[in-house]
Parts: sequence; C-alpha cells; structure tokens
Amino acid sequence: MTELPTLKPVAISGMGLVTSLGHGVTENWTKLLEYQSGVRAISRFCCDELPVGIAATLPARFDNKSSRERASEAAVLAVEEAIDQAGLDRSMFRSLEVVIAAAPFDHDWDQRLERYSLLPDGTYGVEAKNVEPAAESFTLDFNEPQWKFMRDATISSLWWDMNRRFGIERPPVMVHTACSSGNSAIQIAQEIIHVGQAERVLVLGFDASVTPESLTKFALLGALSARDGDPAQAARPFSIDRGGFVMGEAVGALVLESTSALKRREHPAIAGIVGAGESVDVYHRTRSDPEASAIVTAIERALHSAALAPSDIDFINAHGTGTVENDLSEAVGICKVFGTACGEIPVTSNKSQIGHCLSAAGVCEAIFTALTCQTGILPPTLNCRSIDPEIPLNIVRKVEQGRSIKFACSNSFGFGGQNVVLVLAAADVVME
Amino acid sequence: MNRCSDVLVTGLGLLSPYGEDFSEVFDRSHDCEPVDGADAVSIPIVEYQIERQVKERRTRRMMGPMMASAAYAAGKALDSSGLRDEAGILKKADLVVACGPGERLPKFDDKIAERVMTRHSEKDLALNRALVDVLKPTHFLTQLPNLAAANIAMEFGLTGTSRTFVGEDSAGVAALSTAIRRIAAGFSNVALIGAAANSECDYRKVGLSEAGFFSGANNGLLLAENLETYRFGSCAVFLVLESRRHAEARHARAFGRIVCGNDDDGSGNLEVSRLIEAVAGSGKATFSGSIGVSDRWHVEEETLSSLGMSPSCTPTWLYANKFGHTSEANFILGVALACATLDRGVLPNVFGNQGDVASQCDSAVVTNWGLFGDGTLAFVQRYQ
Repeated sequence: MTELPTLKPVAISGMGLVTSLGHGVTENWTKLLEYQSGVRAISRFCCDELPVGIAATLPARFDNKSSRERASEAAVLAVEEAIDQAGLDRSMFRSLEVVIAAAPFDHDWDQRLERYSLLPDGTYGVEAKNVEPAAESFTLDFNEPQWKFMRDATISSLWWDMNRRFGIERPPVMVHTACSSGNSAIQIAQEIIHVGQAERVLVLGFDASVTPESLTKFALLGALSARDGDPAQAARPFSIDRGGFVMGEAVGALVLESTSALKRREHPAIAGIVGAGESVDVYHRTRSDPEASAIVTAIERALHSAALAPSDIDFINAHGTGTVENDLSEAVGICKVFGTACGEIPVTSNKSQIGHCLSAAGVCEAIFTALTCQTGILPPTLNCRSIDPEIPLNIVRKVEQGRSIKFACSNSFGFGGQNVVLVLAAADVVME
Repeated sequence: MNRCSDVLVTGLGLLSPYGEDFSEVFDRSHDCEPVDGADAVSIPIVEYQIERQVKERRTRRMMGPMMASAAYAAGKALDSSGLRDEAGILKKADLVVACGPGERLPKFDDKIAERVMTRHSEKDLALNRALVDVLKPTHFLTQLPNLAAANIAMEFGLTGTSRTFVGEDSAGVAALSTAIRRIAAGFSNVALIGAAANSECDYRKVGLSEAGFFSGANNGLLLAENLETYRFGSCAVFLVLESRRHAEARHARAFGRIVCGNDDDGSGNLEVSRLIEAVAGSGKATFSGSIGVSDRWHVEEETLSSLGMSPSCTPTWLYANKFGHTSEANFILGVALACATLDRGVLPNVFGNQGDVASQCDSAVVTNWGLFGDGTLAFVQRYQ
C-alpha cells in the first residue's frame, strides 16, 4: 500500500449538466432512467465517406457554432445550474477557485481553409487574413473580430467568458489527462480544499470536439463503434458484441465545498467526494495493459485516500467505453481489487447512453454517481444484452431502485496511461 | 504559506534559443547573438541531439518538435538532480507538465488543404476524403497534450502520478503551484515539473498576427517602453522539486527553496506581501516574465513597487526580451533562470547596469503577468 495520506471529504453542493440527452441534471437523470440514448446520426456536418457518422452530440441548439463556441455556451449553462443549486451569491464568485477538465480548443477546418492560399512557389500555405479591428486602438478583448482566429484555439478564452458572465476573477487551473481529465479535475479540487487553499471550488468538465477530423482520428485507432443500424444501439459496454465507443459531447459542472463551509452556511449536500487515486501506466500510449496493474493501483490508492476497504464499496460507475480491450482490462482490475465480491457489486456504464464524453466524461459520470448515492437508484447499462463471459461483473442492465449506496467508485482511464478513480459517498456519510 | 517552505529545487534542465548550459545561455543572451532561424515574429530553440536523452527510437518517432524538446529537457533535469538512475524514486514521483494544445503537423495539414482547395465543388466531401486518406493513427499521439507527459513517463520510468496543464501562460503557473502543493502537503516527495513551447506553430503565429501583435503600429500601443518587440518564443524547461527531508536524506544538491502564489486573492489564501516578507537580506533580483503588454506591465510594476521591489531600484531582467513569449513555459523558465543565478551566486550580466551586477544574489522573485490570466509570483532563495 502507498504512504499517501487520507484526504478530507468534500461535499458536492451544486451540479449542472448539458449532454446529448439535454440540458439540466434532472432532464438527463430522467432520460437515463428511461433508457433513452443521446447517440444519433450526425447532422451538424457532412459525414459522407467518413468511417463513422454517429455521435452523442450536444443538442441541436448548439449546431452552427464553432467547437469553441459550443463548449463555451454549454459551459455557461452548466455553471449557471450548478451555482444556482449550490446557492452561491455573487460575492463568492470573485475569489472562487476553478478547476477545469479541458479539451484544448482547435480550429475547425473551415477556419483553417479560410487562411490557406496558393503561394508563389505553387504550394498551399497558411497566411493571416487581413481582419479590420473593431476599434482604432489595440485591445486584448477576445470578442473583437481580429481576435477570433486566435481565440478559437486559445483555451484561456473560456476563462475570459466565465469572467464576463459570472465575474469569476481567479484564472482557472486547466488540466488535461485525456479521458481521465474530469476525474483529475475533481481530484485536484479535493486536494485544494484539503490543504486549505480554498474552501470552495467550481469544477468544470467540457468536451465539444465531435468534428470530421476527430472522428477520423479515433476511427483510425480502431476505437469507435462502426455498427450499422440504430445509432442508439451502437454503444454496448461489457456486452459480448461490443465494438468500440461512440464519441460524445457534454459539459458538466460541480461545486465542491469543505464540509465545514457547507455546515456554516447551512446548505444541503447532494453527496461528496471522499477519495481519489491515480496511477500511470507505461504499458502503451493508447492500449490497455491486460494485467490492469495501473488500474488496480489507482483503485487501491483511491480507497486508501478515503480510508476504506474494498468491502465498503456499494456501486461502481465504470469507465466502460465499450471497446473490447478497455472493458476487459477494467474488469480484470476490478476483480483483482474486489476479489470474489466483484460479481456482486453493481457496475454501470453511462457511456452506453451519452457516449464517451472524453475530457468531460469524469465530471458527467461523477454527477450521475452522486445522484445514485443520493437516490439509491442505479442507472442502466444500455445495449448490454449479453454480458461478455470473460467479464465476471454484475452489470446493471435494468434500473434498480431502493438500494442503499453509501460509497461508490467512479473510474476514468485515458490515453497516455492515465488512470484516476474517485470514491463518492452519500451526503449523510460525508457530513457526519 | 509555511507549508510551501519545505520544497527545494534539486534539478534543472533547459533547452533554449541560446543553448542548454545556463552559463552559455546567460552569456549568449547578453551578447544579443542572433539565434539561427529567429525572425521578426518567432525564436526557435537551438539544434540538439534528441538521442542524447531519449534512447528509445520508438518514443522519438511518436513526438513532434515540442514534445521532443520537453522529453530532452526533462532528461537533463533528471541528470542534474542525480535521480536519472533512481528507478525506485522515479516510480513514485509526480510528473507535472504544462504545454499547448498538442502539435499539428503542417506537412499533413497542407496536404489536406490542397486536396480541398483544388476542388471547385463538394468541398465537404473532399475534406472527408482527404482526412481519411492523409491522416495516420500516429498523428493522434502528437495532438494530445498529455502525450508529452506520457513520452517522458515511458522513457524515464515515472509511474507515480501524471498531470498535464493547459491554458497558455496560466498552464505553467498551475503546473508549478500543483507540484509545490503536493510536495508541501506530503502527497509526494519528488516532482519532475516542466513545460515546453514551440514558436514554429503556424496557426498561433497567424492568430497573433491577425490580432495585431506583429504590426509596428499596434506594437506601439501594445508594448510598454521596456520591451523591444513582441516575439513568440520557444523553449523547454524542467525542474526537479523535492521535499527538504527527501533531498537531505540523499544529500542532494539544492539550487534553492521555492514558494509561489497569486496576486489577486480576496480569500486570504496567499498574499504577495507574505511571499515577499520572506525575501531576506541583500541580493534581491526580479526575473520578470512580463511580455511587455502595457496594462499588465504597469500592474506588475505597481505590485513590485508596493513591496519595495520597484524595477527602478531592484535589478530586474525582462527575459522575454531575449527569449520571446514562451507562453506555457514562461513562468517555469523564469524560475529556472533564477535558480541558475542562485547557483552562480552573483547576478549574470544580462541584468546590465541595473545595480551592482557583481553583487551576491541570495534570493530572487520571478513574476508572470502573461498575455492571459492574472499575475503570479514565485520566490526562490538560496538553500544552504
């Protein structure tokens, strides 16, 4: 076991969510429990001759916007919802710490192509457009037209938007650990509160990067489900006939607070984060270690940081991408930590309904896990008709109600060997 | 912030436009020797042999220029700390990296663009076909920011934790703050922390150009009088941070003790004044990360003045004048330059005639008021 200290529990006081299922935590939770899927044929751009033409994209109101605009506008909605539920007033915003699980912005191809021209040597190259500034004097205002190209690939511009909309002044910590970014952000927030650097942290996870290029790249790695037929049935985590994940877009926001701060302002907790563990896998840059050593280490470190034993865990929200390799190695890791109990602990993958939301996945899945702790309701793993016999886990296929969930794990693993596991707990446990 | 007082810098690794060795870097940057390949908008790093640090050919193939420079500087920092062959320590160490949004490969982007632009109709379809034909699976590996850290972890065997921070200038601040916080709080004993920036990024140059950064007229409005010009810079810089207890136990050489914090804090979290209170004795100097944006420089100037470190009476070096704006690497570069100065014991001649350049330097403040985000200070002090 590690020499790491245990972490102080932190409470979740507010949550906000925009996914392919809709806007708002309640709408998303309801649709999750109604077995609805956000996966659909992509209409935002032409998919002809792309290897894949389905994704769990943000709702249609976000179409006709650049990748950066989709992320930023959905982020404003999610943050609004989270801070409203947390009951934060504007006096708290100025010094609010913000940790963001960030999918770095990149230009869309139409923006790039506008800057390409035929050069004197007969090749095509990138050149700056002559953009007239809105004002005579030079300014650092991202909203001026001459900033647009720079802004759309500048991740800091998201903070600029948060500053203008909410008056949040502290620049955020922006972490990117690929598909475990969301869990990393929550872990960093818990550490910040643990050491007393802040008593309240806004965590935001966003990813709105479904584009022709990103679909092509993931498909080239053989990671995407290319199943014909009903898009809603394409993501099949842990099923014997799974064939890859479906890209998703989402923004999730959480307000995390020290339990003492929450008690002081007499605001209810929804649930809490009681532990986090991470590890690095140097097996391969994009493939999972079949022995799942780093996954085991991450789960063990998370349990240790929460001062819990494997037998304390009542539910696991799996990474569960739906790729053949990843689901198998995650199952191996879970079985190694939980032993014979691995066939009893209920395990769910939300990615069957909202796709794999990449950098935002951890935050979205933490929100659903918090709701499970709060309500005792286990959301289903859609499309898992026949569990892979090599996966001896208790996959939740039908909604289960009336469970007592004191502690739950939420797993996230990413390219580059990133593994981060959170332990969440019910509100009464966190606040006791 | 007492809990930060136990963090020491025990390793430095640099790859810059002026070379790798700090003495050479100070000398060459003072002499204003032109850097090969530097132009009016960008400054590349010197040529180097990646094989000297990255032995695995497979790893070398997976990296673009920024990631390669990061791995090289990371290896140099490990060499400098004496930890390169300490597998048991590296297995548990933190790896913290600040970098940009991955690396696009211009050769392939140009090929895709040409395929689309030579078509007169159905350009969407042409783009899809070009993407499928031109892109390769390995391209993904250069465009994920955290793959810079993954390459370093794989090459040098760091399997403790790995966190990559993005967000331009604030990425370097977040990386350094996180590494210090984790060691100070007892989460970790050792961190390899660093950043890399590559000015040869066509799209960033285009973006800055459209925003008016390289226009003479705009420069006049943009830049404070103390910055000669705005240029986009390149460098890779890594530090090894270590808890005092861990460093002393292995008799490590320490370049300095480090703390850092933000200037804009309404919650009493950390005030700059408390940082500066720790600046004891003579030999103070400021390594300013200012990139010369007038508004931000004036705030920085006021902050330093209010702390008795006015640039007019404290030796102050605006290193962006020589290195350019190194964005994600800017803050960490300043810390490395300050630590190298503490190691020399006297201010390098890059400080010009500001004060007694031959005077002893026992402590230094590093500032970062970049293009985006707030100001941040780090304080480094000689550790006996």
